[in-house]
Amino acid sequence: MQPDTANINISDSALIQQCQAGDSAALERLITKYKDRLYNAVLRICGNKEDAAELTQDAFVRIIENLHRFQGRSSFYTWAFRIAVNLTLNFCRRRVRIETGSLDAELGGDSEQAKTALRNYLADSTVRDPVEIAQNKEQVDLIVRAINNLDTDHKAIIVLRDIEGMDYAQIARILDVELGTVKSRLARARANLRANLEAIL
Amino acid sequence: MDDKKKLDELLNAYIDGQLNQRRQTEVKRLLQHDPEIAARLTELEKIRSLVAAVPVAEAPTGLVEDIKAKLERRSLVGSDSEDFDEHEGARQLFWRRAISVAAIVALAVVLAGVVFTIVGPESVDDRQVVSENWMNNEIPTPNSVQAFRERIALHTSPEKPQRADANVASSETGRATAALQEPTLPERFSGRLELNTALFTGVDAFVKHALVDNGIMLIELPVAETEKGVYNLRCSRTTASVFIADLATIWDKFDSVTLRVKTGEPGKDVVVANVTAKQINEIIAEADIGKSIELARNTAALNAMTINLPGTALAMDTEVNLLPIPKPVLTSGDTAPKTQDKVDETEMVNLVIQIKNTR
Repeated sequence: MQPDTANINISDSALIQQCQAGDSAALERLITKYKDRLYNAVLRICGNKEDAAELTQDAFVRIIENLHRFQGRSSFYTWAFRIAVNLTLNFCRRRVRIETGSLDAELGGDSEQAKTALRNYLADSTVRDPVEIAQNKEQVDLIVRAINNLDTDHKAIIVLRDIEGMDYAQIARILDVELGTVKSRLARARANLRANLEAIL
Repeated sequence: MDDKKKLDELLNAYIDGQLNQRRQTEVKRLLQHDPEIAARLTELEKIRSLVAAVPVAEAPTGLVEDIKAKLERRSLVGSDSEDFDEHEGARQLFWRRAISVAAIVALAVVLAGVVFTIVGPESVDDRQVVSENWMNNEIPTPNSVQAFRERIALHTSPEKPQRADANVASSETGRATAALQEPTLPERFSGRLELNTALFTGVDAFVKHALVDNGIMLIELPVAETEKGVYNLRCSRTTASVFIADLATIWDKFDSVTLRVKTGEPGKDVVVANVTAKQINEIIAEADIGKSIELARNTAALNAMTINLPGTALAMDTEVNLLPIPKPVLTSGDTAPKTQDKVDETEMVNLVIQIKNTR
């Protein structure tokens, strides 16, 4: 079977070829291109900045060490995320329990004003645009806290779908699960997230 | 309840644009006629929008340099890269086929050994030679047929070595001599742990991490066993105990776990079915190999008796979930990073971990 070249982002493809040829500058460009997205996804799943930094480093090391195996059958982005997300999930499953207390301590979001604004947003069936919420750090912290309180698998699927905007098929490939599992897990994750938010508010 | 779940899945797929045209039309019709469903859709949209509103966190400065430094360190150490390619499924299929072929060849070699024993010129217990291969985790391969013949030739050689040297694993002479001896207890604990799971990929990745984290040395596997999910460990009993304690945290991901303890007698390995992490550590922790084997036999009998009793599953769950195996704690104030232990041979264990995909 021929690789699905249509899946390869051209600039990624060129970068990867240069990296495979030993071009260290290309390697640096590849890391720079994806570091924020990978770090953000890892952070939202593991919920801890230090762990996220370490896991992102490890993920890139594995990506680079296995770059010669990448043949473009899926997009580089999906392949790289698969490595990073699975690394993070394994780490989180090994960790006895995320210390949500310390995570909460890092976050703000305890002001009554922020809670009221979010309550109103959730209760008002006419308001749909959360732009104002996104600009308020305390309200964002409340949302992050609700995400942190999800199960690891639910966090991962929320991050891949709602932060990374991946389609269900991509998520299924990354998490190595059936499409039906993606649908049911995402539905449960969003329902639990709402419950978490209501509990916090 | 089930309908509500199905409806949620449908609505989520709708807002995510993952439905085909026909299903989208159906949902739109539902929304027009049922205000409750329309309200639920708004709730779900809001949750999705809230998550999407969380700003992207930027990677810490210096991340690129840290990655480069880590890569340099790894290249200096010469660490093996872990396998993360797209052909995992195809490769597993290839290895399954290769293993099948190897198993047929192995069977042929064993049969040849049996025939040779019966009709051969000497009454050497060839089965012991074959069994010893297994003890050293070598499943006979086509190449090993010649090696097998050479070993038999050594048996008939007038200059037989005088002493078996189990420590010289690669020594053909030592092995042949050992095969001539009466069955004796292995020098150290040696066994095989079979982890049957439907979550092969996740369990395999976990095991790899646990091995690395515990600084466990892996011995190169023979060709026939270089499939994914088979690891040949050599480490101290303490390190093995910590590794098993790590495994205990995912014990509920295994369909079943079987421990095979080698006794030094061909075909008489002790098979402990449905073994728990705690039982494994108790067996490994015994002061000498004889006691380990005895405890393994008792545990095997106990498990066989209790497996069908009511409440067994509950008892096993309880053991894993409520009584976690405490990890050994360093009491000397030594906080040095984990490295391969330097201990005497009797403190070492050989353990083959085999993860079997039951899916």
